[in-house]
Amino acid sequence: MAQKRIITGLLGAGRIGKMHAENIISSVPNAFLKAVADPKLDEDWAKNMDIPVRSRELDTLLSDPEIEAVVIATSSSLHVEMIKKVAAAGKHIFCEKPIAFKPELITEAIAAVRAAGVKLQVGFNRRFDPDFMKVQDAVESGRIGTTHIIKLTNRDPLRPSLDFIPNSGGLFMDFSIHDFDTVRYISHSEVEEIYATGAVLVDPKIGELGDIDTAMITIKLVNGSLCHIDLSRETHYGYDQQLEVFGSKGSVRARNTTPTNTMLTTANGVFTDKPHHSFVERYQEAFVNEMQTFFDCVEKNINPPVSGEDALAAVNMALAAQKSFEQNKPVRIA
Amino acid sequence: MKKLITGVIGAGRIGKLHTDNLIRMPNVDVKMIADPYLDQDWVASRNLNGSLDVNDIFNDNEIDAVLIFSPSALHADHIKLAASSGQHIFCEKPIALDPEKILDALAAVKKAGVILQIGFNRRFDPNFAKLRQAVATEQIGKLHFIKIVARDPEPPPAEYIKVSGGMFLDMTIHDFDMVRFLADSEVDEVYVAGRVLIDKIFAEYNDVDTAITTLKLKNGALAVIDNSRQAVYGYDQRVEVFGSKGGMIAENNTPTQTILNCADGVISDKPLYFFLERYQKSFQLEIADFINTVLENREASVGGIDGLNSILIGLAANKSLKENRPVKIEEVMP
Repeated sequence: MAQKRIITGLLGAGRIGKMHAENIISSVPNAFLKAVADPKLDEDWAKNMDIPVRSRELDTLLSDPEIEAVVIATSSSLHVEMIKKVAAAGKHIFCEKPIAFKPELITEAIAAVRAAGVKLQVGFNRRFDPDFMKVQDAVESGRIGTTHIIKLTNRDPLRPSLDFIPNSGGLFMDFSIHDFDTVRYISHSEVEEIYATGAVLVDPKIGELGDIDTAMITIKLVNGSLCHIDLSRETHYGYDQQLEVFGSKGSVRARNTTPTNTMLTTANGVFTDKPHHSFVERYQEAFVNEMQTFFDCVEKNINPPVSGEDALAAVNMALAAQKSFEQNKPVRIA
Repeated sequence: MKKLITGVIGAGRIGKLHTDNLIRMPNVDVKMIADPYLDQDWVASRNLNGSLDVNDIFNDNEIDAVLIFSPSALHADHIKLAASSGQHIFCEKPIALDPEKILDALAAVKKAGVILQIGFNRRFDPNFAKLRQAVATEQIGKLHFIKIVARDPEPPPAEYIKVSGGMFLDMTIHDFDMVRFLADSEVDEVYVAGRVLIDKIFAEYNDVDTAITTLKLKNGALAVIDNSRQAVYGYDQRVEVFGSKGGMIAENNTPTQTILNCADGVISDKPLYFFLERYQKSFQLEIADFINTVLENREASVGGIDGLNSILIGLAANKSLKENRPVKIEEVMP
């Protein structure tokens, strides 16, 4: 018997949208990508991917009764509007992060999803990274005892283009939002207080645009443990993504993944690969896993593991971090 | 060869260790070792001339340099006595916990015109010395972050906790000095998130056993130190420097470099158990540096100001913990 395939539409086919489409097509057997809609659709790409319905109108997807699930990968500012429309059309939703920068808007989106009785999964892909999952398992299984310290390193290989900065939401909202979610994912705890300090050390132009490019964040968790995140917009040596959890019985670390595991030894020294260059390579498996999880949840009618409430919690942490940075004092989460 | 005639004050664990290093050095003569509780068997086994009265050293005109390994509370007095006898001084950290007492001791040193070196041994650790080189030569570009992990294998006994001055003045003080050493910059502001997660005994003495300390440096860089009084897997001592052109990491030293592959996994050595093993080399190098500094009449590589400023950072950290806010160093200036 042929496997049931969930008929799916994609809203927004920019870089991330294309990646999700390619993952669904190549790696998610219980999904079928029937339609794509994007006002600036790359027709050649869509044809090449054999997506049957290709449209520049978002409504094409919404009015198709066959489509059960929609992946939203439009520009961030449209996410809430899209969630509301897709929910009203009775379709399940995978939405890229962030839903919105404002908690009120996220709450509205959550309400719309709840009213429609559809499922919503938010794109915190790192929860599906095999390294981070193994760390989480070591914590949850009690192998490292009670958690005392969680440490995250999140550094981009090269600073984003300056055009991106003004609408990014700022370093905390755009960049460390993933780390905020990772902290909650690893600890299973809510956050009590945040202290953030930052600086413009990578490029003064980022400062001129009102943002920062380097930061350190300290978090006190409700469950007692302490947490630290360091952030940089530019490493020059690749995408530095590391996680360490230290507890009463030991510690567990996820180090950087590399394109190969080779080691070159010469008179000049011992050379290993740099970390993967960007999030697309580093989190390739995570992106596939999150999509597979979403379609499995739809198929089995269970709640996805990354909810709208998770997105809201991460945004509240980003707002607290921003406030802490601006006022130079620790800020409690309301 | 010109020999430096020295006297050693204090023959506890650290005094014995340094003395064993001194007697192996060709350009040193240990003329006397004094301690009111002198271990006579040990003195005999080393063929040393022992005394129960420290004044025997200060009153000996032949002794050019005094190495002070007495209990911390006596350091300042012993420095003053040595200085007034015109003897050069090596003193274990801390000079004192009270900045006024430090200033008093430093004034005596200055007046006498003698050399004073403070025992921040970690500056001489080959790993950390190499990190300093990477920063100083701008191999990693301009410094953005310093990240220090410093976790003890086991908590000290209760009677020690009581008089230790607290985690920041007792344990983190080495890390504060490391930050100043690596950055070659003073610290501007400190923020501490600290908790009691290991043993409630720390709370009884208003101390903490787990902390994350964030520092803003005058040169613009940021630093973080995470401390724990108990890492069950050994002495965890790692440092990373990160800058505009890349980073450098010093991982833990291990007894051997072997890797066991078996059905249970891939298993390598735990870190060296505690500071005597981990920093063995640095203890030898710091004393050799002191001896050469005196013989060549150079300026001490780790001076009184280093002893003072690390204490000031520690006091600011205490204040930050107590008041739950970032504290500027100038707030605790004597």
